[in-house]
Amino acid sequence: MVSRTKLLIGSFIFTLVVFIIGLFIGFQMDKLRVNDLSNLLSESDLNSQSYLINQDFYSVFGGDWCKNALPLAEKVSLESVRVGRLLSSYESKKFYNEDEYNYLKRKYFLLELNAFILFTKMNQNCKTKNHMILFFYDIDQGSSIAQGTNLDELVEENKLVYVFSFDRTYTQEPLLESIKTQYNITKSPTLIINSNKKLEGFTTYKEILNSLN
Amino acid sequence: MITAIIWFASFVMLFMTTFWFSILLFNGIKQEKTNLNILLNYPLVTIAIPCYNEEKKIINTLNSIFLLNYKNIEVIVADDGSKDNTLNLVKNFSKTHSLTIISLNHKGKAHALNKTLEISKGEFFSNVDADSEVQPETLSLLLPHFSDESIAATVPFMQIKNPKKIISKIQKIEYLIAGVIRSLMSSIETLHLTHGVMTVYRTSLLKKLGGFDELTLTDDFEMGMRLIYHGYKIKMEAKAAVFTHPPLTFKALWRQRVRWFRGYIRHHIQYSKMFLNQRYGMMGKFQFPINILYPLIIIALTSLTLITLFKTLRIKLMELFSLGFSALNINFLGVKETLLSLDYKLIFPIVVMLILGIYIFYISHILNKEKIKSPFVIFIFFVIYPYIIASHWVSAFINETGNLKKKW
Repeated sequence: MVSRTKLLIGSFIFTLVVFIIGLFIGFQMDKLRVNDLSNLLSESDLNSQSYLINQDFYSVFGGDWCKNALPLAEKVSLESVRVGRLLSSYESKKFYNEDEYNYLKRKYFLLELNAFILFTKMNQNCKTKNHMILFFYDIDQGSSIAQGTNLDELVEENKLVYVFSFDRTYTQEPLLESIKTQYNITKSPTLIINSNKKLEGFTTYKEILNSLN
Repeated sequence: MITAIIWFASFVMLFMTTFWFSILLFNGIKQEKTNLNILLNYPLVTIAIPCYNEEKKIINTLNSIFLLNYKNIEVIVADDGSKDNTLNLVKNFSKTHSLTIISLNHKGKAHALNKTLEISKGEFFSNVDADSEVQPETLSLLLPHFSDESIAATVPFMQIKNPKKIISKIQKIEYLIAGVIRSLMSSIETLHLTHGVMTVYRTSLLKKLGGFDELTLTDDFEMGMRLIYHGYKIKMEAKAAVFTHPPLTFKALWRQRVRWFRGYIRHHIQYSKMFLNQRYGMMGKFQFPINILYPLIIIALTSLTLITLFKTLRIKLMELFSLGFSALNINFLGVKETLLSLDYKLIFPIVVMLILGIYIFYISHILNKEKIKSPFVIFIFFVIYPYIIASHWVSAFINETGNLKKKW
């Protein structure tokens, strides 16, 4: 017969140990998440570099750059969509890596801005008619999540539509701040369609399509 | 903030579950060494049956009492002003069985019990609700515990017999688990509740403490708390089975539980001096604080999961509204990403708690030689029923705060 006090203390210690193990697994998982994101961002970075090097190559050695630009740009865009999804999913479970996540977010938003510039240049230089949507969201906000799903479907169904996502509450990237000021972004979700049309609040698939046409 | 609440709630729940599990594992459900001498003395036991409009069940209850193998009993039926045929049925029954009948104006169960207590001649006093059944050996299993002078009351293991409807099947599982937890409470001397199916008390003690509280919503729970408050112990005899009829509709269940929970709140406030009071041993240090946290945790956890559920549902509806059924086919994350997306610091303790909880659920069936069946009922019990219980608690808190009139 074990004494009640011993069982009480033993149970408390056991509970504490379970929580410590949970925290330890949480720490390890957070490391894996950060690694996963870092790898994906490095890949996106490579895709952007590839795009720029290709562009330089064609301008130096000649050839039809516009013909090759689109598939490369699509690769950049698709990769960043994937990173965006994971970043929001992982960030809501982040544990202790606040600085790491801030770094990764900044890197991701810079890649998104870079991609946005690439597509804008492509539209100007190659006379393409790619539709570009800037999407400002809040992490863990229901309407932002639903808007994200709509935009994913839109990108999947429409070849010439590209979405660039940004956390509206992120303040550590000066360029992003000036874009928010330029478009007067005050609430989420907000969509900026082709740099001239602003849609605030949740916008349905049809409404976005109508704005594109 | 939400994570902190879930974390704290999981910590308390895991601690509680681990403690019950460790008692079960290391000490087992302790069977007290009872002294059978008390049976040799053959004390008289008064069995009080308060009844109000129980024409359908009273004869069944009386039959089960007269089949008890302990025969030195004095049976008193207190009719609390029944408007149906209860009184006539009891009078007919008394022609062939030795029992006393008292007829009262409708003033409630506690009043009826007190009137019975006034005329009782037994050394021990037991109350049996008129809609319940006892087993032949119940009383002879309960009485030997009184060889310990500090024992004020003994309670049998209350169960539900052959449930037919889902609502009673759910309650059967609940009663089985509650029975095991109460046995464990009994083994660490923190059992603080008596119930209305053959709880046996020392008559002298009941009289000394002033009988049952006629103003309360839950006279038996109040009596249990009062006994502990005055330094006495309550024992549970797990082998002594009794059967009750549970509410058969959700409305009836609601009324019963809200009444119980209001009594629970009221009497924890009434006897709050026991809270963290060293004088009350494990009751003060462990059971009372856990009793206070338990309803709060149930409400917090179910509310948070409901909020999350509604939030997800809202998102899904927005997606469906915008995209139609193609929204259902969008697959966001792969297996690796899904696994990485889980919040392990919250999930791990909850999984451990579930494993221990399932073990207690399993043991509660094994100890009662019950088969684990109806996965659907088990699913409802674990997934849906906590929300129903939480709603009862919320209603009880609102009613108690507003000091609303009691409803039976």
